[in-house]
Amino acid sequence: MVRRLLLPLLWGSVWCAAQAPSHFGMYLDGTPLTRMAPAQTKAVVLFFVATECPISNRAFPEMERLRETFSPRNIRFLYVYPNAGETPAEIRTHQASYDPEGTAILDPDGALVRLTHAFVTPEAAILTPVAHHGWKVVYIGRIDDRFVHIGLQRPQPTQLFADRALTQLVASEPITPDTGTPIGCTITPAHAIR
Amino acid sequence: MNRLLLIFGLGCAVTVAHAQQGPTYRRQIAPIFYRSCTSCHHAGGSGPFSLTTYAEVKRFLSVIDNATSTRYMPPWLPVPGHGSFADSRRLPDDDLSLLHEWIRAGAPEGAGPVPAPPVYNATWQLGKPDLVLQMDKSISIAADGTDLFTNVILPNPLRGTHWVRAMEIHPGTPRVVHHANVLIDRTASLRRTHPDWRRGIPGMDINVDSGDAFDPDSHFLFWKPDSTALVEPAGMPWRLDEGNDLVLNLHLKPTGKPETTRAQIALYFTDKPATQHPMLLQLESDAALDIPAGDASFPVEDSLTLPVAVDVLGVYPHAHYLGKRMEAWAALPDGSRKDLILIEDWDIDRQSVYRLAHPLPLPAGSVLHMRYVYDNSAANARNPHSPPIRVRAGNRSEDEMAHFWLQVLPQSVPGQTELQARQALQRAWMENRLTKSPNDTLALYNLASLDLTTNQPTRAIELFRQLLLLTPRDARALTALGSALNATGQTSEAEAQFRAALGADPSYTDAAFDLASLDLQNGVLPEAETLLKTTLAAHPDDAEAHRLLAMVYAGQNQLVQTLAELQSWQALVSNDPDPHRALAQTYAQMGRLPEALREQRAAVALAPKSASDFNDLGVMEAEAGNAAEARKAFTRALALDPALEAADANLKKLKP
Repeated sequence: MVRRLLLPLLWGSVWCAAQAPSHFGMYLDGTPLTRMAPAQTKAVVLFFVATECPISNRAFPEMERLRETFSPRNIRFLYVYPNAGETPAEIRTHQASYDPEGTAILDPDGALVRLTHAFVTPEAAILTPVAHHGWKVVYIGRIDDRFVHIGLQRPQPTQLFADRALTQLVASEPITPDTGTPIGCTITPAHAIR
Repeated sequence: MNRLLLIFGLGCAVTVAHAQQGPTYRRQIAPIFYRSCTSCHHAGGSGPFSLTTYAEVKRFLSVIDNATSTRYMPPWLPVPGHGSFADSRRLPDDDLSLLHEWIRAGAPEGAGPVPAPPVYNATWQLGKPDLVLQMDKSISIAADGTDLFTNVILPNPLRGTHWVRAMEIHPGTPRVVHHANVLIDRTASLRRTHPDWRRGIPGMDINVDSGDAFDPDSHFLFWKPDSTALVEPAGMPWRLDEGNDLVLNLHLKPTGKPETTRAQIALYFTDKPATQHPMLLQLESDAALDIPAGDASFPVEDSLTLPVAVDVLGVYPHAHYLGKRMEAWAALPDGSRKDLILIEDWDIDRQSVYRLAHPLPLPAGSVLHMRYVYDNSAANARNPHSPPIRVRAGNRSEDEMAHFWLQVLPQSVPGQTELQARQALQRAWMENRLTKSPNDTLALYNLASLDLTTNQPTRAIELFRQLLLLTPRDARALTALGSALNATGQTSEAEAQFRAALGADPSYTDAAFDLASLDLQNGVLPEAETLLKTTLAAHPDDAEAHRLLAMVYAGQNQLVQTLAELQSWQALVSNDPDPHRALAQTYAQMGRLPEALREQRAAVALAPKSASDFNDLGVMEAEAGNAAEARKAFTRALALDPALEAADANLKKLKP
């Protein structure tokens, strides 16, 4: 499967999904996220992560760096825990260990997975606002190329895909998609299991 | 398949999961996980997630599918059919087929009872250890960055010699410790060369100084996450001497969050000393490692002809991140070939010691071969350099290595002692190194030491001189040359070398000791006294230095000081009759007969078959007026050695 071939197919579904859903996941205290971000926010970055996925865990330092670098540029960052069975208590503990300053949310009905088409953890989705409180996915894919496949990782990444996309976003340049297939743990959303 | 199909496909698979035609988790699949996965993948284990229940397995199904298809998991590098290994972790083909059939069928849980998973606990597997060594403090591992390689010294706090029949490592935080090697530093050399050793000594590989004594007793002490307690074969416990350090060579991996770990080593002793002494042999080709940037297929080779027959017990192939294909085999004198191992996709993260399922006998004259191929191209994802650069051998992770270790049990032939067989292997190994690298200082030193040990001091002198051309201010080599010269009677030349060694390194106490011995021999007692006091200030537990200093004081008729040194000597070697003999003689000389008798009695208690000790005891008893005891002692001496004329004469002198 080659990401480049996928993209033209995906854009169709992305635009379909740009209609504003009733909510965008849920905070750990159970409050629905009715707005992804304040109206003037330039973009929202969703990091799809999991409490027990070692590949997702390994990406946290880079995700934290991106959050710290780009938050001041009017970009909101949310860590999305999309998997069924992950409890708020486990997620709080996990988030406190890996990026205590980050905001964690649940995706109990898979709205964010459907909106972005994320399918593994870790993955990054960059969304920009569109009219009527909608959001458009302008990037979905790998954080970097540290992992070549499960069982093979580079000593350090050679390409920082998410960093490049955010840099381009801030510079109002066209966003370059990542290359290769996202490597990680398949997302098992609650709605899929049901 | 695109993303949408994958996500919704999973949902569909779940809904049809009740078809019971094929394998189910409860019937066939759970036992596979229990056999092959859960030893690491359990709560608190080294695996990143637990796989002990259906829900846990289901959660990671795609990862499991991928990791087993590529044979990334369970971790096992050797290609089947090339060497036969104990404790193989390779998932049997039938299990793999069944697992994939089950996944393709939607991973049904099935009906019926769930087989009980194995129970794992955090305590020591073999019960309460005899000794637990723990790191002084935790090591911190940053959330990000490259792997960390460090070496931690754990000094042995025990007196005397112990024999270790089993060892277990608790790595502290299992998920960060990728593997660990334990080295025995018999000379505390790392502590000496790294005064700040408590902070940890960096390095993927490390050399320890085995000292001057040829020590062929060698074991693989290797730990990886799925390792259980390391139990040595019967008759092969390893020796742990007083003053030895255990060096824990750790490979630690960042996990994405700051971590700490504090390892423990548990040791289990036996009171039965080793009856068989395996040794380690090494094939290596480090000198040939000069890998051009971009070269995707750089081969190196080595071979070693066995001068004696051996049984191969285990192998340990080792390279760093550029290693790709590793192959080792033995060519037997009859022309046949025995494969030792083949690894087609080397991964240092999954390296291991491989113990053979059964000892592999190789006759004398067999030739051991290794052939490794390295990939220094950008296509090698593990390449630590981006873009690639020229890489040579070294201990750092970004350097390379070409090592193939074997643990062998030498088989002596009639007329040859076991030690001689081992020495022959050691000689062949070192000569092989010198053939590849004539300036190999380690090989020159070891070979020269071997010559000195085997009473070939003239050859040793030649080799030490050759070594000193390369390392002219090496205090140890200068001292060793002095010893070799002394062994050939060239005492003045020997003295010059000892003085040169002290000039190069005034703290090198071996040179001070050897020069003091020579001084004692030559009657230069004041200098000997000064040198030995210096030695003892640095090494207060050096029994030989106490003995020598006692002799120096005795030579100057300073009997009180003599007594003090003899007592220190005796305290350090409690089972040795020699210091008791010397104390008895000194007390007798001082006219302190009761103490002399006490010491001589201690001597005969430790050496009950020594006729001369009983004769000396008889003399002291007679002098103390204990005629009956004296008679008994002389009679005992004569019973042990009827030809002992002194005892016979003494017995006759006693009045009936």
